[in-house]
Formats: sequence, structure tokens, C-alpha cells
Amino acid sequence: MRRLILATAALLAVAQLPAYAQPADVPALIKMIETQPADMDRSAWKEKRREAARKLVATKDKRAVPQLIKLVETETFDIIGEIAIEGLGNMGDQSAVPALQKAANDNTRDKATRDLAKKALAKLGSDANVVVRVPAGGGTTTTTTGNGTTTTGGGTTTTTTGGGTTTTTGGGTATTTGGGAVTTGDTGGEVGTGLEGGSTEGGGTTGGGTLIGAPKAPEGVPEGPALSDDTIAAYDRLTIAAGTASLAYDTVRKRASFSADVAGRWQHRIEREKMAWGYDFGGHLVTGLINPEGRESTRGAQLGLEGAGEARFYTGKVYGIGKAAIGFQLNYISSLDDDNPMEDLKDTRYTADIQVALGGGYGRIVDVGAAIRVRRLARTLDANRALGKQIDAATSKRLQLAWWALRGERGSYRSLVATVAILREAGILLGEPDAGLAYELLTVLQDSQLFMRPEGVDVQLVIAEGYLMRDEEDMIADPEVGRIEQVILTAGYGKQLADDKAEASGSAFARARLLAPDTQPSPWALGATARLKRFAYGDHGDPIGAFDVSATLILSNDSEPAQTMPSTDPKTALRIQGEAGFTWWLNRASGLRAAATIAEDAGEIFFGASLEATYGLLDGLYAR
Amino acid sequence: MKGWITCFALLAWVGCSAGDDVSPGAHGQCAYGGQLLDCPEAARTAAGACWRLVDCGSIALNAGEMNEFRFDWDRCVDGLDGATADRRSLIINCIAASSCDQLRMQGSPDNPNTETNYCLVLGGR
Repeated sequence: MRRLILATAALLAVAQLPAYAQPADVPALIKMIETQPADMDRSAWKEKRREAARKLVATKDKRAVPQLIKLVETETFDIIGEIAIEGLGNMGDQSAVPALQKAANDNTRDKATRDLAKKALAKLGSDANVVVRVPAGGGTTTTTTGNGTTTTGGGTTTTTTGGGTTTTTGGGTATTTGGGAVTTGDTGGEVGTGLEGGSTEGGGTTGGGTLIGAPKAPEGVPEGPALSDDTIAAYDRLTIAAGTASLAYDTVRKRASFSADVAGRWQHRIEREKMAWGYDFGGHLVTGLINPEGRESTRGAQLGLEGAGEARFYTGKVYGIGKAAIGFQLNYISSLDDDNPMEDLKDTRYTADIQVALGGGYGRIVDVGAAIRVRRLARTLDANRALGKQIDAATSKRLQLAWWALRGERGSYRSLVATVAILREAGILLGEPDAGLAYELLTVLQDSQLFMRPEGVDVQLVIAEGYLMRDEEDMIADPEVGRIEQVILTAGYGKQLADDKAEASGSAFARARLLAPDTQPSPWALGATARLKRFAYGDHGDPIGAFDVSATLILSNDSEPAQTMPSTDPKTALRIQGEAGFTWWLNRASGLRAAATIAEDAGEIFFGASLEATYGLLDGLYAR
Repeated sequence: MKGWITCFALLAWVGCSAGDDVSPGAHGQCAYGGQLLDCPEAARTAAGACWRLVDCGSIALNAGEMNEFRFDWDRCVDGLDGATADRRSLIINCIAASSCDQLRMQGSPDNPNTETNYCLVLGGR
């Protein structure tokens, strides 16, 4: 029996031997940490890579050090980062010091992680303080932090400032690690200020990217407008449209023609918790000349100017509102008859409106397009495993205001650079983006589907008082002139769905004229529209199309002046209208749009459909 | 379900009551009431411009079989489609930029006098 036990024990011992004797496959472990196997789901892979990190640490193989440093720098949420910190402390490799110092000073990490990093540094004979040696000036700066250290002269300076980047060197070589900008080389105290990437020097893996000396905004990152902390939303929209302009001369018919349609609009709005206000000014000019051979000619110009403003005062979601609007339109026409001067027509007309309204409402709708862009950035970073932490409200605001400030740029270069700088500085973007990630970030910044994206609900009822001035001739045709009172109900709704890839929205209105004199009618109308949009994106964030469907219902009644005989004609009319369309961008040069509309009004059915397709040649070119 | 029944009943009532007479068509939010009521952007097509004239109460949707020479939606689209390109674009742009008050004519909407519509005159009489 004793022999049997001994034999079994010996057999077990032998069986265990290969496990100790077999060297760990370091490249395989690194691969497991870096790449998710195709046949493994994400949660299982996360567990496997933690296991792989533990094994990597246990090997004490030098080849594992860069990978473990990378884990320290990028894995701020998963426990794998702590495994790496502890492991680097045990491996005795000094190249890990900068990364561990950065972790020890990173206030965005929890205290336990920072303490673990300090312990690891202690094992390496170092501490959390950062030392920069500058050969040319002979100075040394020691700092515990930060978003940057600037070393410029001789002497020795010790500072303790915020959290952030660390710079370590030896022998006149400066290396930047972690979330920041750029440090320098051995140039005697010269400090990088751009948004360039980092470097790998002295055997240490470095991040790159931030500004030394910040917390101020990095160069090239505009601040945007100053908005108070209680600002919920704001926009400033300037649209200048030269719709069409043409000048032609037809030699066959000997006819000159000219036309132009120019419009501009400026809209500005601020939404705060207790108050909201906005204004909207616009103008347009339509002008034309048609001058055939002979006496006949037509020329004219139409100038329109309009402005409106409103202010809301909130108590919770309920608000009181005051609105005002003015409008002016001037028309000039000169039409010469080919044969008979008696038929010539020269006319100038104008209309002018002045109106105010008071009322109340509930809720508000804001354009959340820029906020969606921020959310898309976070998703893009997460998908690329470059999201250090979620984008907080302060960083979101900073990003949106930077884009606001850069809206006039012709290209997206500065937006991209500013976005990367802000995300790096906030510790959100881990590492310098590679080409693939940079492209995906650019597609988010250039996404044209992120404008006018409503969110919220708003219902409003106002009583309006106005004075409409019309030319004498127009008064014949115009049922409303002089003083008018009306009640106006408007409602709106917007909701972003499916990770912001779908949008449901709607609007409704109702208006009726009150207190009309006996000589004028009291028309009323009401209507509602519901819309659904679905946006599609490619694998790398390229917008590839949108599907939209809408339904509209309008009910109106022209009424009749009290003094006139009642007409037998029906004055109440209903229109139901539906529209569906699909836009598909096949590639950068090709796309198609299919749309269909159907409307029913007064027993008549109107149907329309259109298909527009453009195809661009996709050339492959080479020239030596 | 009740909502749908009501909706169809309303539709049938309005549709049937149209008869052979003039059908003015439904008028949009900005047809009356001045500057305070915004208009949605009109499509820059012949049909879009004519829909805007209907929305504004400038022309009737259907002048009726007894009034075949009256200027209604049908004749509006035909007229614009038959115009030369320069005249057509001028009229369409003008209609899109005009307020409803400017678009209404003498006799609107049942029997509009096109000589009093600025945009139609601008495009050539």
C-alpha cells in the first residue's frame, strides 16, 4: 500500500513537471491581450486577457514590459491595468517608471490604483515625482503632475500642480508619456507647443500628444463663445444662399435674360434653465430681366426683409412667452408690351407687418446635433478601444464650443486637431490616434446628418395682435388688412432613437382670427405633421444614407365676411399628404434618391414619384 | 380605431362635398395671419410652386369642370411646364420668396386674375 501511494505521488509529480518546465509563449499571451479572437465573445475575452496578463507578469520576460506599460497607460477601468501596474513593480525594469509615475499622479484614477502605482515605483527605487533634466540650461524641474511641465532655464524648481502628464528623462533626453502633448528632445529647455504626437525614446513607450504647460487651451483649440453654466442649448446659424443666378443671351431668338435669387438668414438662440430667447433676421432678393428682340421686355425686383424675436421665462417646464415679428416686402415690376404701349405695366407694391404675441407654454425643443456628435465620438473611441473614460459634460461643452468657433473653416483639419487635443488633454482619448481612428473621427466631425436634430416637446398658445399694411390695390384681393387679432397654438416633438440613428419628430399648429370686422373673414386652419427618419452609416462611420417618411394633415376654412351672402361653395378643406424618400450614397461620387408623395385634397388624388441617380467614374490613376 | 373612422368620415365628407364646383384646397399655416406664422420652404419645382399658391389661397386646387379657363393648380403646372427655362425659374423663385399676401390676386382663389400676380407677370405675360 505504501508503495502504491509513493508511486502515485511520483507519477503526479512527474505529471506536474512539464507545466513548470514549459516556457510561457510570450507572443501568444501578448496577442491574446491585444486582439479579440473571432470565436470569442467580448466578456469571455476580457477574462482571458486578464489571465494572459497575469501569466505575462509571471514570466518576468523583458519582452512583456512594453505590453504591460501599454496596459498601464490605456486600461484605466479594467482590473487588467492594476495587474500590469503590480507586475511592472515586480519585474524591476526602469523603463516602466514614467508610465507608473503618470498613473500615480493621475487624479482621474481611483486612489487604490494610484497607491498601487506608488508601491510599484517604490519597488523600482523611484517615487511619483517627475524629474526633467535639461542639459543646455543645466536646470532641473521636478513636478508631481501634470498636464505639462515647462523647463526653461537653469536652477532647480520643484512644483506640484494638477494631474496629468509626466516627463522623464535622463541625460538630456526628454520623453513625453501619457495624455499630453509634446515634450522635447535634448534641445536645452525647448518646449513643444503643437499638437504633434509623442515619441518613444529611451526604451519607454510613450503616448504623445498634449501641451506642456497647459491647463490653458492648447494652441489651435479655439474657446468658442462664453456660455453660462445654466445654458441648456444655444445656436448661432448664419445662412447665405445665392440660390441661382444666371445671365444668358440667345442668339437665335435674340433674347437676353438675367435672373438672381439671393437670400440670407441669421438665427441666434440661447436656452437657459430659467429663460430662453432668440432672434431671427432674414432677407432675400429676387430679380430678373427678360428682354426679347423688339419692344417687349420684363424686368422686376422683389426685396423682402423680415425679423422675429421671442423671450421665454420658465418656472419648471411651464413658461410665459412674448414674441414680436416684423416683415417688409417690396415689389417692382416693369413690363412693356410688344405692340401696344397702352398695355405697358409699371407697378410698385409693398406689404408691411408688425405683430406681437403673448402667451404661455410647456416644455422646449432643442437642436441636439452637436451633442449627438459628441456621443458618436465616444462610441467611435470605444469601438477602437481608445476610450479612457466617458466624455464628461465639461469636455462635451468644450468640444462643441470649439466646433462652433471653427464653423467658418473651409476644411476639417483644425476641427480634428482641436478635437484630438481636447480629448487627449481630458484623458479620454488613450494614445495618439492611428490612421484608422483618425479617419473615423473625421467622419464624425464631417457628418452632415447631425444638423437640426430636435429633442424634446413644446406646446405653446399665444394671443397675437398685429397690424398689416397693404397697398390699396392689394386690399381687393387680401382678406386680412389693418388690425388683426388671432389665437395661435403650436406644438412640436422630437426624439432621437436607436443610438441617434433614428429620429421621430412631429409638429402641429392651429390658428384662428378673432374679432374680425364685418367686412373681413375669420379664416382658421389647423394641421399636424409626423416624421420618421432613419440614418445609416458604414463600418467606419461614413454616412451612407437616410430613409424618411412623413404624413401631414391640414384642415382649413376661409370663412366669409359677416356682411356677405353665404356662399354655396365649400370653404372647409382637408388635405392628407404622405411622403417617403430614401437617399443612398453608393460612394463618394455616386448616389441615388428615390421619393414618392401622395396627397388627397378635395377628392383629388395627387401622386408623384422621382428617382434621381448620379454615377461618378471611379478612376484609378498612376503617373510616374 | 374610432380615430381612424372619424378621420375617414371627415375625408369622405370633405371629398364628397367638393362636387363639381370650385375646390379651393386646404390652406397652410401661413396663408393668413402675417409674418408671425412661418411658411415651410416650397419645393423649387413647377408643382411645388403651384402647391404654394394653393396653400396661400391664391389659386384654387380645382376650378371645376364648368370653369376650364380659370387659373387653378392644373393650369398653373401646365403653364410653368410650358414656359421657357429662364421664365420658369424666375417665377418659381419669386413664388418661393413671396409672402402669401403678395401671392394673392384679384379674384383669388376661385377666379384669379393672373395679371395682378407679381411673380406671374415677372415671368412674362
